[in-house]
Amino acid sequence: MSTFIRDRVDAMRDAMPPGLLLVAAAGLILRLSTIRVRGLWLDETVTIDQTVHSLAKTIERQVGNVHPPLFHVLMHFWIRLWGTSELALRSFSLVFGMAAIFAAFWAGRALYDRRTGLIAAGVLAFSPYHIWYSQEARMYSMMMLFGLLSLGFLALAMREGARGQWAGYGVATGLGMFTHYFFLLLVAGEVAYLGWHVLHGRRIGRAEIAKVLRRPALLFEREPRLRPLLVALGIPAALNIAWMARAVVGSALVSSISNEGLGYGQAAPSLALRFNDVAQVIVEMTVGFHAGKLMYALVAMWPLLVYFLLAMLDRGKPQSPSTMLLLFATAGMPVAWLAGQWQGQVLASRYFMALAAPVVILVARLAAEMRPRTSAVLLTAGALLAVGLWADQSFDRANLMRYDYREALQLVAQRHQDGDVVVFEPFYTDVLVDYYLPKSIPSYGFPQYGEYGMVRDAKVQIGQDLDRVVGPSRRIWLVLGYQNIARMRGDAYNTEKWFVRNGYHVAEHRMLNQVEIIRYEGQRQGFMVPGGTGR
Amino acid sequence: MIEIPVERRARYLRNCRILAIASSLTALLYLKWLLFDARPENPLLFYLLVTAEVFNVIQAAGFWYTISIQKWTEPLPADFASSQETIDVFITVCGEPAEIVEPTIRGALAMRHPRKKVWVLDDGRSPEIEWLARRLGAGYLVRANRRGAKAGNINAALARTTGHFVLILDADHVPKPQFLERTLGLFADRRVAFVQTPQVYANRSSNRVAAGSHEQQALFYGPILRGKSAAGAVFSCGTNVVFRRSALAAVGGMPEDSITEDLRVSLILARAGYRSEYVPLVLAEGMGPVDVAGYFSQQARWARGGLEIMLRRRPFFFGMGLPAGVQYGLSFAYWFTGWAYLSYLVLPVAYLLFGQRPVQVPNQYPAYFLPYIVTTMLTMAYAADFRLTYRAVWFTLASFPVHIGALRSAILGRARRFVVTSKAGAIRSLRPARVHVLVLAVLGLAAVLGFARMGLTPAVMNNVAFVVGHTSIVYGFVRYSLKPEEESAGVMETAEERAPVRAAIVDEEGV
Repeated sequence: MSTFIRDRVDAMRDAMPPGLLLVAAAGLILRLSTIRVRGLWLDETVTIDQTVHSLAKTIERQVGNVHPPLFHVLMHFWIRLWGTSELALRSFSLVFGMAAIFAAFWAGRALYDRRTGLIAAGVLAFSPYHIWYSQEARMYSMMMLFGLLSLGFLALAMREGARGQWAGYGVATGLGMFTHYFFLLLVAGEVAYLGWHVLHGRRIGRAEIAKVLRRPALLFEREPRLRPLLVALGIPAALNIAWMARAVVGSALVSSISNEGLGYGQAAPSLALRFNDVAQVIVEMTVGFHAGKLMYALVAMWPLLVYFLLAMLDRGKPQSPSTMLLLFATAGMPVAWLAGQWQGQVLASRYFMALAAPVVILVARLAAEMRPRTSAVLLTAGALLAVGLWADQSFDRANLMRYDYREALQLVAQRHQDGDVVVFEPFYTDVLVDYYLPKSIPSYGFPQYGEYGMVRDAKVQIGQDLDRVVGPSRRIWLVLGYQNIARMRGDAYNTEKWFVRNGYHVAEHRMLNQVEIIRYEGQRQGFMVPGGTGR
Repeated sequence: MIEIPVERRARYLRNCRILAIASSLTALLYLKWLLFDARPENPLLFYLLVTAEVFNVIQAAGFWYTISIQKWTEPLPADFASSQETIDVFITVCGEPAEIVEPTIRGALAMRHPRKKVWVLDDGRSPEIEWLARRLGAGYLVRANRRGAKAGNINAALARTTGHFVLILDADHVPKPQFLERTLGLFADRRVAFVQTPQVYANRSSNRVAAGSHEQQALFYGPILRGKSAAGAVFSCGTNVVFRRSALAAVGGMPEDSITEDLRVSLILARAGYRSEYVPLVLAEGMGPVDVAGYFSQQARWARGGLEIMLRRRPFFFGMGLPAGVQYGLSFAYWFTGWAYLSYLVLPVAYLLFGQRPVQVPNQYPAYFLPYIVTTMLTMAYAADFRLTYRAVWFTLASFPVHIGALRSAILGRARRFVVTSKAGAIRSLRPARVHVLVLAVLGLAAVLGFARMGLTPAVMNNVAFVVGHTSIVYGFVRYSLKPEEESAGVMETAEERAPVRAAIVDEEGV
């Protein structure tokens, strides 16, 4: 074999060692084998609704949305290529999820060494949480990928300063910023690291801060890396600000933020010290999603965090710039936690996917620093546990994040007879009904039971509207959807009361996960002319 | 020993103060919730929790105060040429083998001072030690009886020597040549009765018990003693300490009626108006306990001595200023730590076995407890310059049987006797950790029965998490009892070769 070929093979093996390929293959099997086990949930069908139109309309629909447009634009083309089947939709995230495994290896190696990179790739490959979001037709696996790339490029650029590395950082960070607004938390952490780097490295002494304020150029003289950084970060940041100016300022989103607290209901802001919510974020990211009973039990195990911190007391003074960068990169977590005090919904774990990127590498570093035997035993045990958690997460029907709309609506479609009417609540689940229920079956969406503040006086509204659409039907299928059945079930009782009051009785009742089906039978007298709000 | 470089000290002290304030605020919030807002469920458990938490907050507040007033003593090198002052170096021996004592004698002889005399005070009356001392050129002193233990040994030597100063070294503490140069300068102030220097363990790399003991002491010989130094409350730790002979003579020598003569003489000297100083420089290295029994007997002696002074003598704070009184009080109260930890052990067991818990609405608990505990840990870690290990933490907490035994002995005033630990090196036995084995069994049983009775509920899992945490703390001594040496074969050999013999006093009934 010539030296040239041997060198190429060695370079290839270095960039993509066999261990990484094995890990990636395991990750692919875990992801693919369960990609269709659960049906689509609301947000995934919203994705279809937002991206099936023309490109211009797709972008336009993101103006005022809570998400920036990159995911939707890419998804628009993806859907045109592959269609909107469950597999086609979710493959999009799978591609980014798999890319994130390779990116974890690359970033771990860029920040530390090959061993750390391999472990980081393994952590992602087996992580039930990351598997979940590699199978969900949303933007979260993209966030992880861009987070890892951003960190890796920044570490390399700070160390070596090559123009391509700065460009890579700018591109990855820009893409991240256009994927999810919470990506800015990671960017803020990176910028904070650079600030610390400048001050701590005594490039600018405390006494010189006033001097720098008078003559900012001094900053660039002392720390030449700031100039390429400013360019790399400035371009995507400017674009992002321009987008936000158009998309957010003056749009409905701003009023929803001010009026309804980030668009989630009308609850008055309150300081509730939501430590259990924070614990839930950590639990979900660690073990994925499981039955409510298990999740609540795991959240209650927060004392383990105290013991973990105790065990980490002597590790509080990292010397390596890489560790400092990663620690700064996670600094958005406490910021978000503070924000979450006012609106608990901000503390949804998936929003922090970009911040999980530095955590994955820190965890890998911790394992890599152990004695090889210890880390091998721990990693094997961790992988076995992760596989068990993956299986439970995928197949446990009590998983709170499983929404059994597919099963529910397929059941309605099979059992439907001519003249039956399907009534569903809340109204915005129409995208799910559209997806799973044949168009030939008439269905009507209703403002839901007072949640999310769509119709506060739900009792009256539901009565009037139902009166209009139910008409003379003898059989009515009521499909009640929930996002938190424990909290919302009581409110749905208003609708049920209306049926009973109007001469219907329950002929069939099926309680699925987060979805409930009730078949009413009866004959109403004196019905009004059907009309209304059908599909 | 946790040392902070000169250039970082100002920033370090400022940050310590900021963290102390932050910790105080979170502690007050937590106490406010616990005392006034929490809804007690089982009154007995509630008051147990409140007592333990109030004790811990007081201890923590004392720590925050101490680290906020730290001072670094930088003595000018002593000018030996311009004075005629002499010094006696006492090496106290009580059965230690010659290979342990020899480096100490050599180190003492190598210390730079023109008018020093090295004495080996051999309570073991060993011909081998006598031969060694004479061969190396040190004086050799024995006495007719062993009355008064180490204090009696020192007093007997004081009567037969005349140096202006006395350096006391345990048999295994090898001094560095500059020891006297870095300490005697402080005696220029005539009110200074003694100068203490840190104790560190040279065998920490070869023995896990010595390492844990060393790490546990690091905080004490770092920020805590620097703070005590600022408050005028440095106390003698029995070795690596230089006394002014006239001060000792003025208070009648070393008190022989206490098993912690070092602590007691410090109090007597403070009451007599003398000052003490701490030099935060490692000027001697000794040997730490090599097995769990040795560690417990050392802790038991210190605990009992401190508690005895606190409970059975006239109030210790009489005759000293408030800052010094507070510091001595904190040092004595430290020995109640084990009681507080025992309370924490009881709480999850009470819930898992009997369904009884101290407070209702446990969801509020982390909201107030976590900020307090996290800021407290952060402050402790920062004050220790991020060198405080988990091992140091569990060495303290899991010594609870020793603390409990010490209090019982101090209250009952049980007699004690000298026990010389084995010369065969580290002893592998589960016996010293039998209480820990029992506690582990109870914790495990509680977790299993809790699951069986109540299932996978958040309240059960919350208590199981505490059980897991306690297990990680209590299990350490079980492990170290069976294998005190490090795992590496080479290191283990070295540890056995270097295993010291230590004299220790333990209660008659053992620890």
